[in-house]
Amino acid sequence: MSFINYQTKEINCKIVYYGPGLGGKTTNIQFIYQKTSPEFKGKMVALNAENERTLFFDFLPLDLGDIRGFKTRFHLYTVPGQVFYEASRKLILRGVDGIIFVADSQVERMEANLESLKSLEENLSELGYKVEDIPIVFQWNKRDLVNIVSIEELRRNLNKWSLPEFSSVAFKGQGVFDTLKAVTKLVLVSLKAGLN
Amino acid sequence: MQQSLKTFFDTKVTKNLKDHSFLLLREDGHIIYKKSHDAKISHEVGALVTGLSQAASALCKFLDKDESDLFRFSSESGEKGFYIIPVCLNKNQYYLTVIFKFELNPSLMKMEARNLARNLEQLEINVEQRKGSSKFLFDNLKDEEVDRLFASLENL
Repeated sequence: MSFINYQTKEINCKIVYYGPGLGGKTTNIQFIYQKTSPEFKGKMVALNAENERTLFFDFLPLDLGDIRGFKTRFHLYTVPGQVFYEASRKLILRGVDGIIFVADSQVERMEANLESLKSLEENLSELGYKVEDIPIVFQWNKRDLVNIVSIEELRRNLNKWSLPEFSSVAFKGQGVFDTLKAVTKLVLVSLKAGLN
Repeated sequence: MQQSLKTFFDTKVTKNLKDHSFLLLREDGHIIYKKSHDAKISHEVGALVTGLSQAASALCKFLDKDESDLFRFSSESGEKGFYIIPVCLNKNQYYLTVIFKFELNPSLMKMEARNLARNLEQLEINVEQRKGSSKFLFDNLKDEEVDRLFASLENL
């Protein structure tokens, strides 16, 4: 859950990149890290296995600057995509404010996308959330490859809620900031006032 | 809240603990309060501490943990390390983290840190709570406002 400090006029929010293994979650935040001016980012933390696969999470703190007098800080996390790490994914979703679901567009990864989406729904439900309650944006990644399914098919299979969606080629940066901007806006507009 | 915590840490931290760094963290890794002269101790430490603590807490469930068990987590070489103590404030879970260096008596330090955590739980602080207001903080947020946030961020 977001943390709003009225005294210091600061808003802290947590965004989680979710999706199947090797889908491009880490690539998204690596691109953001590379392209962000040093004064707006903290140190990127990557807890990887020896083969560079995410073991627990990646973390990138971003200071986005001021909006209507509030300093905004976003903490970006990725979950490990491999099926084996279900328990870790659940932990990382705690306190989430917004989710980017990074789907792999390749034909042979559709089943993995579906499995990952099902795990997201179940984990959110265990934490007391519904998909409808949380800002979620879909990213159709790897659109530069040849063996990909159509966007209509991805939409039909994964985005049954008609949530915002973006095409991307994360390693080239295409669609990376667009997706982050979209979820940022949804998170900011969903913040409730009236805190004591 | 910040003032209450500052007063608490300024007055309750004992002589043995005063050279160490303290972080009070929410379950999601956000830093609620920091007392440290070390600029390196920042948000990434918060994310790692809560990740560690939550993973350790999930592991403890395999031990048939009961309500009265209080688990602490430490990673240390003896004279330097981290000591993480869960604390309950306003019925919410937080983590008090002591980051220590050049400690000659880690056992005494840990005992005093646990006392500090117990005292912290007694403190009545006004932690922000949602009151179920239906009013949104940013009504009619425009795309241009979000674009402006990102315009300064991107170094393309």
